[in-house]
Amino acid sequence: CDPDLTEEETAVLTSRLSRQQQHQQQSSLLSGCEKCCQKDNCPVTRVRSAQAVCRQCFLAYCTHQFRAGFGKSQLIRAGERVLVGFSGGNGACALLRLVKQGLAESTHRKLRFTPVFVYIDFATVFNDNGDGPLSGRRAAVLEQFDAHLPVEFERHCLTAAELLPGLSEALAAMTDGTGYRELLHRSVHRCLALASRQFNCSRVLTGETASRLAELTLRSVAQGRLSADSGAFSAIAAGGVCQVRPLRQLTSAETALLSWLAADGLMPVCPRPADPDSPLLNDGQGGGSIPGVIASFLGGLQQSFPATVYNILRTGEKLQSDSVAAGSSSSDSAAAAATPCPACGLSMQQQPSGDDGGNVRSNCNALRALRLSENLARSGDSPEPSTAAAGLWAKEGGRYCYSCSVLLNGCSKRAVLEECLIDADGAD
Amino acid sequence: PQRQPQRRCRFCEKKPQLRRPKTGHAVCRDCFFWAFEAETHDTIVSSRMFSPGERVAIGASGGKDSTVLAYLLKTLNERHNYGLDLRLLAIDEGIAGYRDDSLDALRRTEVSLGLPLTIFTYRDLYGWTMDEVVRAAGRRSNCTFCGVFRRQALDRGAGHLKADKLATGHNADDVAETVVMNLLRGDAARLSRCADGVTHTGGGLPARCKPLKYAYEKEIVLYAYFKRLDYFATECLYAPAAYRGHARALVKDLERARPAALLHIIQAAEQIRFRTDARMPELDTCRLCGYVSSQPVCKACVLLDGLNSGNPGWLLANPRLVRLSNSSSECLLMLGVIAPNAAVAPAPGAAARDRHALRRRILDDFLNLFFGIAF
Repeated sequence: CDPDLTEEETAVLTSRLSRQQQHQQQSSLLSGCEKCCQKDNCPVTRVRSAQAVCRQCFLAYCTHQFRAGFGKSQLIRAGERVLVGFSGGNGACALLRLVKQGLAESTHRKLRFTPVFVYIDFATVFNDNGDGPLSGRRAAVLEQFDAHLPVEFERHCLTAAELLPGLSEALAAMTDGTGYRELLHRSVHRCLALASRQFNCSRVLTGETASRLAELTLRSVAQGRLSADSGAFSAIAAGGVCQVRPLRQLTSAETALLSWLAADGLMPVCPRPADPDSPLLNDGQGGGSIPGVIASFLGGLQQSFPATVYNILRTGEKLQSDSVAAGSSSSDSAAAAATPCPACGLSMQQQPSGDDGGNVRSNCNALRALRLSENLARSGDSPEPSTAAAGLWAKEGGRYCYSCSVLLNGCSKRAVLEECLIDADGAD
Repeated sequence: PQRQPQRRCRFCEKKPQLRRPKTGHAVCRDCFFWAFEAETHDTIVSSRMFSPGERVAIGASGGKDSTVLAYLLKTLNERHNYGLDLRLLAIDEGIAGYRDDSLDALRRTEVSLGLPLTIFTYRDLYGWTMDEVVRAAGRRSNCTFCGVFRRQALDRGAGHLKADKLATGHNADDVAETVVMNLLRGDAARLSRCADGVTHTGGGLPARCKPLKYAYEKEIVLYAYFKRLDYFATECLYAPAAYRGHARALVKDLERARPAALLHIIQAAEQIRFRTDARMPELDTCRLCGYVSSQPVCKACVLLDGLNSGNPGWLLANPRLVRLSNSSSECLLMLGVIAPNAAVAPAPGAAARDRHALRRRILDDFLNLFFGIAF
């Protein structure tokens, strides 16, 4: 309903949209599921190809998308121990259900890895001693493990405060909401990486959906990096841990629908939007944060433009990986020769040389412009900045990539944060 | 954390008059001018944007960005002896109540800066004004028409002026919005070049430069305000429905959360590396008008064809027909109905419209007769 359109234009558009929508609805309801072509099977949703599918076909579609990722990537070999991160959310429940189904004896071409289910408990990090939302979440997750996991599957509940002792102090010392949320996100993955080492697992499976990966891609762009790792099916993080995202082809809405349609009693403990008092979802410092802004933006845009999430992921597929470990195993000589950032394991981003003999791109980029603005110093009425370009970079060239430097500089207790992010035993 | 009130300018002893949106530094007016001009000078020099003796056409609309750009380039050209020959280049899209008012502001800028101004109109180049395009095509995709036409018009205008470079007033907000928009739409090809400070269009056309690429829009407004520059500050009448509005909303929210996010987004796009096996469209030239294009027939010719044949919206409503429309234009070329490069020097508007309509009718009859295809 555009107020600037004339009446005639509005009438024409409305009649066209109505006819199209009516035609779609009528054809779906009358002809039944467009996948199995059974008129008695009422369609429940439309999937990516805009096909109206019934409940059985939708469940089969989700299973296919889950299995196809493993088949194409050939990442997990038979008998491997694989850590499955379970948070109690939509994606985690979908992952648990699909892994359990894939490993069932009766399944055709069943999956053959050995899963180890792990829940990372953040209650003590936020001083939740039994009556807060995080303690309740832990109890609910353990009940789900007992109710839905076969006895032969390993399951563990690990405490984040024990895996990362300085995390509570580091979170309290973050100076802005973006750094707070970024640290939380990294600490979850760091805990999973430590758990995988503890339980001798070679891969970590997480329930990140296409929507979540698109969010992470936009987040990394807003923090200065655009590479294939944020939205890829698998990515090698700091410490050489291979993270696998088998739900990459499903949106958050589809995983939520999967939980509802499966009707097996496994429901998310903490569906979004979650408990507003949960410290895991607020910014810690009040005000907006980049992750919060992007999550609400993408959710809204996806409603109007359903291909948005897939467009972002498809663009990411065309990019090179910034992971140094991934580059060394491929023919990418530039990535293989790059120094990894000890905090995130990705290649150190190009630092401006400050030398006119260098190429234009290294001499003129946004990072240089930002540093120049932040470090301008005027001497008298001289029209030239007194800080020479070479001087700006003399104190730079530190250990970390730019994104991690920003995160570390945003914490008033930098040493504590470094201990949380960096592996002490040198496995990085 | 709450900012403490500053009693002194960051660079001198004077009382601060504003806080820079980019860095949060409290500065006095003179130091703000100095910092803004120093940063723009650094962008120009470090990217080797211009060479001495070049003629630079400044794409000017009468708005704040192009007015500040013209003022800055003139000031820096004189202060640092760039040796440039600066000209103002404006495109009149023919939007009553908007473009005519901004051109009045531009004419005043021409007088105050002493830079010669040349105006090209859509009517002269294409035979259509934007008001006529909107009446024919509706309000839903008018920005597509205007953006495509304006880009080509600027290049042709700069070529007419025999300019070596075309400078535009795109600021950091614009570049960040473009990066986000290309990412949301999955346009990898545009994403690879949208953050470049100097873009070589090819086809003998002048290279495009963005001297204000790292300048924040808010700082440009502050600079124009404190310098009392004369500019026109109203949004285009047809802009509200554009897709870019979504990207703009996100960029504004990101800037509020963390001011440096704009430059971080640009940094991410500048450092982007594509896989060697990723397929990208190759740039060639349009077979009808000779403009650079990744398709056999450029988008401007295709859109113009639709307008002249009375079906302006059919292509936008049916994106799959883009390839078909290019094929139809290839058919016209093969049949000898259209000579290649027919519109390199665009003909006066009305005659061009009549010729396009005739070609369209011939093609429709041909295809209906032999293949039963109707457009």
